[in-house]
Amino acid sequence: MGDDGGNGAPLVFRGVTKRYRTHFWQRPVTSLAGLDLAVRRGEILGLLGPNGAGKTTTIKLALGLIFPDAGEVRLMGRPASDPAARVRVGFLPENPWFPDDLTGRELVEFAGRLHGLPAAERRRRAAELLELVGLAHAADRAIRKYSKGMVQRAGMARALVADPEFVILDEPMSGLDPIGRREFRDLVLSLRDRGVTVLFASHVLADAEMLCDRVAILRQGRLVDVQELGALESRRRILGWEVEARGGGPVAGAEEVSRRGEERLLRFPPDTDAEGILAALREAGARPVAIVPRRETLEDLFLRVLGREEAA
Amino acid sequence: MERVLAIGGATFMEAIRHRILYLLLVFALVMIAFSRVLTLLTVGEDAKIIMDVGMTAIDLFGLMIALFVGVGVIFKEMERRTVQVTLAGPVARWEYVLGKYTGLAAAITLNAVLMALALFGMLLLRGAFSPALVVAVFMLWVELMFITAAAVFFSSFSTPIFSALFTAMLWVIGHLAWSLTLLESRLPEGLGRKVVHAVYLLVPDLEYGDVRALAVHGLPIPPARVAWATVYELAWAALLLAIACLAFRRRDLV
Repeated sequence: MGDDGGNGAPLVFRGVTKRYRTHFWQRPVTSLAGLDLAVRRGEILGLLGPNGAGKTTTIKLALGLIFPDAGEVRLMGRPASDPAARVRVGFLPENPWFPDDLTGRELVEFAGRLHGLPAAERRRRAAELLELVGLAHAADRAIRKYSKGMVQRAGMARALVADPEFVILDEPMSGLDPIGRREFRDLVLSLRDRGVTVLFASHVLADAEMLCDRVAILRQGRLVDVQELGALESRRRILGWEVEARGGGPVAGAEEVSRRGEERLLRFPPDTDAEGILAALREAGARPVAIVPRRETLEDLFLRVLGREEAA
Repeated sequence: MERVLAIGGATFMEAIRHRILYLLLVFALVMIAFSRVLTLLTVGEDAKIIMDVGMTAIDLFGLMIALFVGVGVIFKEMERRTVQVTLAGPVARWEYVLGKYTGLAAAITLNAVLMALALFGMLLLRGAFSPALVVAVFMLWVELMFITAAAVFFSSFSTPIFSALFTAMLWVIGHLAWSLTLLESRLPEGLGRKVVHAVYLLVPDLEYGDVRALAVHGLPIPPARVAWATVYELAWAALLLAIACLAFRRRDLV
């Protein structure tokens, strides 16, 4: 289902299966089954799925935090268990917990030290990144005094300290307010513009829709679909037409959704086209104000794919 | 090595911020000071009692710090998943284990030094200080380095309660291991004797390096015994750390 991403794909899963056993007397539960997926260089790939679908397992396998029972995971061309594979990789975990006595600046500098940056470089990067994520004013405050959103921002600065080529974000928007979400989205998009590859797991589909070039949908540990998003807006299925019209009588083939004075909101089925809608409005003596095709959103796609799997 | 030191530094800072550590340190210092009161109960043995109680305080409270702070620091990392954030960077598992050990060992060393200074200060005031005490305290420190390694070793694969329990048991076994040599000498030649000898080789003997009694009673401490016990206990610590690194190498961090 996932292609191999060509040579130089930052992350490749080949036939990866992971089972967990909570207690030794219990039967192991399959968390991920036969995953084949490659993250292409320079893209933003969204990892979507309901809770328990295997998103975090996938990320942990990628980072060598857990080990596959079958198959192979390669990160930056090396086995994922090799620490050298993670030198140019940044990671922001879900609900990150950092030593709360550290300040934001110390946190980022410590990460820089683990990544082997010299002291002067660490200081420079920490100042630069805390500014970038909007934490310059709180750089010397202890993390325990940060709000959840600020911890998330500090985590992002930490993830970027080694100027990564590949960034893995696990539910990065959780805890952020609407302004924070928007800034975060802009930041992720700016990373892509600089050629950084991004893998991010989320169950907030609106975020994924705005950010991702592709989405991979997981369900119960299986990869059930990989879809291109980004530039392919025009290729998405039309689910219907929403038409605002003024005046006139009943319109053939349309369902009236609401009415306020002269203004009406009508809904036409997907097999109509713009010309047919205009003809129907003319015939009813109504004046068109707006005609908008309702295309399949990521949420529709997500529910359709999961529904199909459910039926199967 | 840079990463080991970085993790060690962070662990040290975290350990010395641990409230239990201060509580134990205060208790130890109170106990050392209290030894002065105990001298009122005896005649002519004042300095010996202060030495004995003081070094026992260093030993016991050092052990408790290793148990509570050592096991606790690693458990907290697992529980709060900070370990995942660290190991998602270019950090090898062995670097993490050795970094944790280095930081804990440094924190425990600092505490042992503070307790020793309190004891030496009291003895200097009474004019009863002897350089042999430095050797005895050094051997206690070596033992604490071993105990810290044991705490890290058990924490690498076990829950904190069991880790603390196993570490404490190893300390007790280590101090009773000498009785196996006694048993061996009293058994007739044969399988039983060989089994006892084999068991003795499999457990660390911490009593051999304990030269407190010699120091307290002003008896000579053979340098060879100090050197051999140091090498022996540190080799045991290295062995436990090596096994901890191996155990942690393929552990799933869920």
